[in-house]
Amino acid sequence: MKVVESGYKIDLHIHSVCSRAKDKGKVAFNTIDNIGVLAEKLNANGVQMCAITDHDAFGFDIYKSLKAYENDEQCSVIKVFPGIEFTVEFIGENGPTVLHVIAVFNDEDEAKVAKIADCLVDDKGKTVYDKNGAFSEEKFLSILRNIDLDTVLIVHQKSSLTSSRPYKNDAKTVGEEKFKEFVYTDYFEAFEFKNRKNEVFNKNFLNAQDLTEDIRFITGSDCHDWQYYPKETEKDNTDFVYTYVKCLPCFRGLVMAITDHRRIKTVNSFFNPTETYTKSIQITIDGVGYDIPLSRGINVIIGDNSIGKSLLLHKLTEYRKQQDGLLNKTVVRGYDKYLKKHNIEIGTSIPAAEIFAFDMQGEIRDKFEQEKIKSDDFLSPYYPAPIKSGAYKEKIQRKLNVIFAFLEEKFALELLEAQLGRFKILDEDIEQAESITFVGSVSKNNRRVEGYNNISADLDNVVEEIETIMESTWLEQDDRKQLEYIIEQLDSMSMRYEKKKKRAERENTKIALFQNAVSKFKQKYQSSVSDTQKKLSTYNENIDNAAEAIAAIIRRREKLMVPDFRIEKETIQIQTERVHDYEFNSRLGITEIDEEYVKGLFASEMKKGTKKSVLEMSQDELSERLSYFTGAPSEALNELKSKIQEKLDADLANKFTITQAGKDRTQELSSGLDAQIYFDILSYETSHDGMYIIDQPEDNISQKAVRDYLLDRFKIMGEHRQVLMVTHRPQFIVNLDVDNVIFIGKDDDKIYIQSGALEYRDADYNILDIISDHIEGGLDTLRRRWKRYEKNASV
Amino acid sequence: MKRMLQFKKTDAGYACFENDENVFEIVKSNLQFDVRAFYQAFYSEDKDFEDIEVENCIPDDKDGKRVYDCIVLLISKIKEKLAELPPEDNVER
Repeated sequence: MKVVESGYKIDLHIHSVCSRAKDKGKVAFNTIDNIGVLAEKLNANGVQMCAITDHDAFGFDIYKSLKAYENDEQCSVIKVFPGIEFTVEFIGENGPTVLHVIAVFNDEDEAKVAKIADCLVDDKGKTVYDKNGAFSEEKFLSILRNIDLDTVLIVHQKSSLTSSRPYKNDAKTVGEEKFKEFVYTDYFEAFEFKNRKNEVFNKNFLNAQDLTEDIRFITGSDCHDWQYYPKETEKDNTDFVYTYVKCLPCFRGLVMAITDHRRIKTVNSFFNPTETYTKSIQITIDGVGYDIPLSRGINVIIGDNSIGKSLLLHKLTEYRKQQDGLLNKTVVRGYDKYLKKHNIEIGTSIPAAEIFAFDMQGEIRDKFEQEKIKSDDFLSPYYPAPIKSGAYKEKIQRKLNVIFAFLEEKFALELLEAQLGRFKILDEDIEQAESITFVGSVSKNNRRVEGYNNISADLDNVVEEIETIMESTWLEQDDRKQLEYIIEQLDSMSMRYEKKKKRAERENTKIALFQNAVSKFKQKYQSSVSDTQKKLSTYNENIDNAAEAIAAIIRRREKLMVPDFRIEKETIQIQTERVHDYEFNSRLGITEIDEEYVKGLFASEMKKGTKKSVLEMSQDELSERLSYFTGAPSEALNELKSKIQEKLDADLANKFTITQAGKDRTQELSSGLDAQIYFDILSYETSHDGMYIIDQPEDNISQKAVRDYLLDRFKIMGEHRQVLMVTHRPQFIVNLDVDNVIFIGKDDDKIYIQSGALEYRDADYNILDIISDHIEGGLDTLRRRWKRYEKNASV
Repeated sequence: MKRMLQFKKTDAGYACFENDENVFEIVKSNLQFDVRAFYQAFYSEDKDFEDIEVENCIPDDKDGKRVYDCIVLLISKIKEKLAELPPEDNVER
């Protein structure tokens, strides 16, 4: 067995007759002859790993007789460890206090196991107590050293940590300070309780004291009479709850499990039993077949750079990322070439339906770009529908159109006034009769054409908008009929203005023809009159033109109304969907429109210190005050229009943001933070089945973030679904306590694969050695992880 | 309200005075009529232009009379033109 497939039920606290020195008749039944009774009871309760731990004694024969059941396929027991329940006197602030400490030993070296009992007694066979029926702490440690086996220490804490009534020989009786010392020095691997009720009290205490990572609880039956197992004795009414540990059934596995609270549970729920998962990966390398078992939890692929780790992920997913345009053809060709060169065939493929998500290298940081945030398969379902900004935009646009039209007309009149020109007053008296003067003129009215055209076009736009609304299947029948009627009316109105426009165009054409004819006639006439007549004629024409121009200006000025910036105030709601701790928002760049916003649109485009309102500016002044404008004054208004339009479009464009407790997380431009949000949501997502595949999560996140939260997120994820990860970071392997490590190595240019749980080792390899040898920083991380276990000789 | 202006001789030429303020002047040396300056003096902003009367204070000045006639003619032509142009120029003709 290379990977953990399920949690194992344990009981590391069972007494035999060897405890009789302390327990007298209570343990009389528990003899080697009755070991079958115990085995039967253990089997009936489904216990898989256990230990007989007698008071300051070890019965090798009894241990061996129970161990024989490891090979009995009819019995649930698959691992029996040697152990002792030591009576140890510790000195705390309450003075000398006797605690019961269970030591469970490595079972691999049977010769040393056989000698355990010898370490507890003197030459005369008397227990080497040095403290009145107990061992001093020093003596206890020296006995452990003499036994010279890797050890797990579990101390009694039968009453809950919140209880005011201490239980005899519990760790807490030693006094608060010494108890803290036990906790912070990891003196004991775990604390043992028995009563199911205490589980909740203990968990609450750990949460409240922030000690979840420091204290691990397991349960033990403390059975003194096998006939009534798992009761302590016939009269025991304690509601006993078993402990499950997630590990391989070996001492090393027990150590891994008992030193990580996430590997210890009172229900066997380490993996999601309903989740479909990929059981193994079949690979043939140069004729050598590998059937690599996969854990239901977290599987990591490690190995040197360019050994083919990412290739394996892509090949397992049938190069699916190519369809998303994220994996280019050149890379795929390179992968295929590499497989061919090393004669590798990957026989397993994971169907798309069985993949929850696949994040290739560096992909997570890209997901949070504004353009991709809505299109990403994983994130997109969380965002509310985009806010339709059309109505807000139209409202502001209408006001802007009025203001721009005013400025246009104002500047046009300024120009007309500037172009009024000069003429010479007659310096002699000329008889009027001598000349024919061409007075009066008609001019084209292009503004009228434009006006009609705009109305017609705007009406057509409204019709289009209504037709879009009518496409909705949610529209009620009555409303649909109403809209059809409105469209009819608008169409007829539009046609009317179209006709008016055409009439105005025709009139302009006639005027142009007339002007042309008069002009030709004037030229012909001027060539046949006297100079004096010409002079008088020109003078009269000048007067007439000036009068006409001034009259036109007056009339246009009369129509020129100074607009204001007022629009009805309107709040634009942010649409929000709550997802765990986060709010996924759909929002516009602004949250309300009002007079100040419209004023601001203009003010934001002016140079700093501009106090004059744009409505009071001349064209030259606008040109002067407009920020970053270097063009001709006549272009200033167009520039202003285009800049304001740009800002308006940006302000009213829909944006997707993520907030946490009101704080906009998307404003923080850290890709690490994006990844944190992503992993948070990902880890709690349980509505979609399938494997999560990720290539080097460390690329997206800082080391601190990995330590602070990411490991925890992955652990949660590993309980929900199968995870397949490529990583180079030892933290991800060791601190995450991954369930399976797949190492791809190269020896003399030949690729090979080794795999197993962290605790796995066989005659050929040892997973922990592989990590320390092949992962940069692996050894240090392993040492830190195992620090609490340094009292053992060889880990 | 009727606006009353006086046409008088100045050092440079001839000018219209309104409330003793020189609002529009023609230089005698070139007799150039600046239409824009005229517009600004008589019609710009919110000036009342419905009834303007210019009194010729130098009726015996022959050159002055030609200038005065030009001003009066222009005022009367503008009045005519305004009468031809309805105030709201959005009625289809």
